[in-house]
Amino acid sequence: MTLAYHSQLRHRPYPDQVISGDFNSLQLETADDFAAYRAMAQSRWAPILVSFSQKYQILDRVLAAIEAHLDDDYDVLLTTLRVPGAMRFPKRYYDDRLFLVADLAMETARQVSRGARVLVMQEGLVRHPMETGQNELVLTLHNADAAATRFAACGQDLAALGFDPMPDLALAD
Amino acid sequence: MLELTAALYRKTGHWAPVARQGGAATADLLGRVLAEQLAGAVAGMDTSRIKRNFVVSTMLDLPFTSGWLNWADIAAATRRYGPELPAFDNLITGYECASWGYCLRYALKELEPGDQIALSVLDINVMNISYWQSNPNWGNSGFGLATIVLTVGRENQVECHMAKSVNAFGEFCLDLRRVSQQQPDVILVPPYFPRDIAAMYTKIVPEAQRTENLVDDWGHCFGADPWVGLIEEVVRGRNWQDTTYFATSVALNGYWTYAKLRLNPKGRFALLHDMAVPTVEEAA
Repeated sequence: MTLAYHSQLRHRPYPDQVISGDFNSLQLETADDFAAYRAMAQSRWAPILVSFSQKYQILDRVLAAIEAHLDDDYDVLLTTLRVPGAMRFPKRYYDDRLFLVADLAMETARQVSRGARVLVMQEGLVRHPMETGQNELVLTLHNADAAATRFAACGQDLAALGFDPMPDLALAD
Repeated sequence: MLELTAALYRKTGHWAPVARQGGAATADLLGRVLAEQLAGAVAGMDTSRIKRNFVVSTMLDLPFTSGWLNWADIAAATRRYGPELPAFDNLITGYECASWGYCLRYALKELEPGDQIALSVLDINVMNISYWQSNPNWGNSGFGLATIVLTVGRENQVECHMAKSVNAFGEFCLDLRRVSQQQPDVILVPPYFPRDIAAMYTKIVPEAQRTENLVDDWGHCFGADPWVGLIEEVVRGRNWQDTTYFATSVALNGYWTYAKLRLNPKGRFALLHDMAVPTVEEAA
């Protein structure tokens, strides 16, 4: 059985917070630098609703919600970490059941096939114009057994954080 | 204890001529070099023992975050160039230079003694981004590909740590001293850093308990440093067959790792010839 919560952050979660600019702007010195960043820039941008540190702040609260409701329901928690160079991830990311991979689908398929209970946190919170994503957060629990009530409660916590349920969210690559 | 069964390292420059052809050409060539080097590392081995096969990188993060490169494309290319090889599982960049240790922590949970893990430490400046050429935090970079195969033993010591303070490198160096005091017979293989930075560990860990900081020869090779260091032990004719080592790496943002290991006396350890920067024609 697989449970899923599709959602999207549509408003700034920390609207009145005064923050320091924590984006280390990219070094643009050579022709190759300009060519590289031009090649990687996105043609369409989702609204930027969080800073680098705010992204970790809110994802840490997502992990806290998972810890509160689903701690006994998974063996492996797979997620991504995009542009790691900016700052240290929150301590919850260090948990030895959590693993950061580039390709969630491939590792999920592998773990599911060996019968592991796999929780996948796929996030697309964007912070700068070279990042893909639509500010989505998709939580999926594979091989879940009798976890539906707790999974729904976790979803309610995520909605309270600002991740509006979007069951029909279509994700572009 | 873990056993290092094979380790190959190949140095390369930047690949900007390939990158100008786009992400698809770059993915194809990356898949090709990953497959070719793994084929060299496992030649003559029973590869059915390799249960996990990860690629780790420090600097290849933004091309993936932006979608310019996709792991699935690289994995597909590895299958084209090495259909007989164990499938490449995934790319891990989130723990930067310490990613190989976090892969081991994760993989060891499901592996049995005798199983093997392949790791490719891939740090090639494909787009020739100047930030990665050199940096005050680590000096001049060394780009290349390390391919290693580790065999799981009965009691395997792999430690992954996370810094508590802003001074992650200082915490790492103090932890190196802790390990050197707790297990004085084990030789540490620390990452390569400019001498004024490495001084933080060279001053507190006795010289006899660590391998040399070969930064002048190699630069800082990100997560490949300890594997280059172990190959150098063999190449330079050190007493490696009677030695237990701690491979170590540290990431700028505050993650570090150790793996205790011995080298297989019959293992394949080599520094390969530098990889020429591919020409555009080759990539097309």
